[in-house]
Amino acid sequence: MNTELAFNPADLFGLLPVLIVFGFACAAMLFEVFAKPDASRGFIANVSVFGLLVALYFTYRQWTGTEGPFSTPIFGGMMVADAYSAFFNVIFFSGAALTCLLSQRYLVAHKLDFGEYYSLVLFGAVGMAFMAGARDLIVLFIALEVMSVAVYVLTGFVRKSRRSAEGALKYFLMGAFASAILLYGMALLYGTCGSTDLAVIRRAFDGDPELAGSLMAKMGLVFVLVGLGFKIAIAPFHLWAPDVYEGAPAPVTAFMAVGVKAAGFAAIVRMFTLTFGIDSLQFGADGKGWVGVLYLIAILTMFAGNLGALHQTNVKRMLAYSSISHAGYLLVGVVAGAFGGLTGEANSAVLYYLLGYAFSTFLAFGVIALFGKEGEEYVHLSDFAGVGFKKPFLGLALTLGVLSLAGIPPLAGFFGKFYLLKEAMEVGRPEMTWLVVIALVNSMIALYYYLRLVVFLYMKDATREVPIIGSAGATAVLVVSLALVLVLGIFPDDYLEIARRSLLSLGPQ
Amino acid sequence: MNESYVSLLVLAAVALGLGTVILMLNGLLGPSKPTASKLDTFETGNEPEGDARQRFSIRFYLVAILFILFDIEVVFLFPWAVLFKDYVAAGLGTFMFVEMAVFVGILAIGLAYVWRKGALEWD
Repeated sequence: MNTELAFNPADLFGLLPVLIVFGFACAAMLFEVFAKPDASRGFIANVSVFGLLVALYFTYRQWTGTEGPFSTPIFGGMMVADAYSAFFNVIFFSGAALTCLLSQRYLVAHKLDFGEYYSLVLFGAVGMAFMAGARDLIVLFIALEVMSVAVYVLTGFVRKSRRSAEGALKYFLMGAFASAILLYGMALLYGTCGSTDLAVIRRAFDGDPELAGSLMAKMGLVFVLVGLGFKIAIAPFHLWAPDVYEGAPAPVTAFMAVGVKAAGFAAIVRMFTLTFGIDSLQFGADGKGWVGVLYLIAILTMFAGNLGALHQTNVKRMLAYSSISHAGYLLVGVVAGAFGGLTGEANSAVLYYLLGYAFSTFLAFGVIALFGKEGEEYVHLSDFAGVGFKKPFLGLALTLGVLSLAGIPPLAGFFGKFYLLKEAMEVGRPEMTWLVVIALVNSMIALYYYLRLVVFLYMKDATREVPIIGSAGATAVLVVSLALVLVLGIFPDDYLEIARRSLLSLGPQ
Repeated sequence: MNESYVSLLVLAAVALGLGTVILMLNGLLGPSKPTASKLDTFETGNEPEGDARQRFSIRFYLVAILFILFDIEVVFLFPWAVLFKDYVAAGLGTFMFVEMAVFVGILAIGLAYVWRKGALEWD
């Protein structure tokens, strides 16, 4: 009998933050059914936020409890609790907490006050955390499904809205196909290497260039990229994003734009730069490796996102396209990371960028979620006209949010983009210089639609009365995001050091 | 390594061929005397009634999905129960017991939820 099965208490400490979130997700579900039917479900949001804060505290303890880039294999190496997954857990858990805070009044005002909502947000965060810690294809797939199923349901949460139902159905159908393709790719990789363990796969490819060059391995790699690429909405797998982001309730849109995207990138950086980060796969014998593919996808994604956003008048759709373009910028970092090697700075720039992007997104969506009443969100550009003077704080928050997304100093988005592109330049290859030039051109295109929103905020007069759902929770979201966007932009050193340390924990496998 | 799959291919081809040939022989050699009731849809010997395309109550869906959930639970419980003595002999008794307790516990939370939600009541 296999005694490796034996229980290891250290596993529990490594998993503790995720287990806490899982426990609170179950508790939220039970609170919903055991609370009085007509009582407000707002307290479940408070409980969920409390649980996430506890989980964040234990993530912090993991971080400070050890020196340097730590890495503890759990479940016999199928998962790992390392600095890298801890870094992403901070994004997921704080993102989920901000979502819960933002949703509390939103759900009441839109007559959607159900406790399952918070339970689903927490379960989604659990799936994301497992994705960031997965070191095995099977765990990765299951984690992806846990995350996706929760988000599908959240997208369709506004049951009486056609938009919401349309978004949920589209997301579900296409997501199911993407999952199938991802699973097919994993099956092919398993067929090639005889293992689902990422470390074993790497060793198999590393020792056998012929295996790495085989058609089966290439197909496996491409299918995995398609499956994950769908989740992070990179072109040409991005077409679902605008409809889904528009249909979902605004707090869920923020959760998707931040959490799902970060989880996808966590998996991509771990898998591609690490497991597939060997020359025969990266560049291939004939110069046709995955780096070349990602290079083209990065260009395509940036243009698809920014050009798509130009003529949007619905702010949620506009930000959906903007989030597509951000996936493109992030891919520039992943490509640079492949050239620069694992210890290269480019990948830590990706992590830093994700952190800044997360809070900028919450800053923007935190304001947008407040515009509306009872099943109707007021998210047309003209609904924001004049808000800058009527509601100075909301105007300021939204302005700084979109300016950070646009990459204006001294905000988080600026430094993230600056650092990312600087590292891409320092790889010192002519094709990377071109990629940086394209990214810069795209940043300029993006300025147009970001600034147009600011123009509406401050330079146009309101055309109709717009109901605003204010609440203490939403204000807290805005204040926290605003503070972090400024701190990340002005004092980036500490956070860069954190990103570097996280990345180092990936280590040589 | 592909040679090992040849026998599977042969099996598939034979199965498909045999089925096709027998069905065709049936049509060619057998007598054909159709009557109205022979051509009718078979519905457990009764007179067929109504259209097959009708609306089903959403409750069937709920019951079916809950059935699958708890059916799978038994699928996992059964081999665990059969092997449990071996696990105890190998010194893994407590571990395996706690593992299964966690699994059943999670399902119990789900059961409590659907119960309170009223998904188990038909009306």
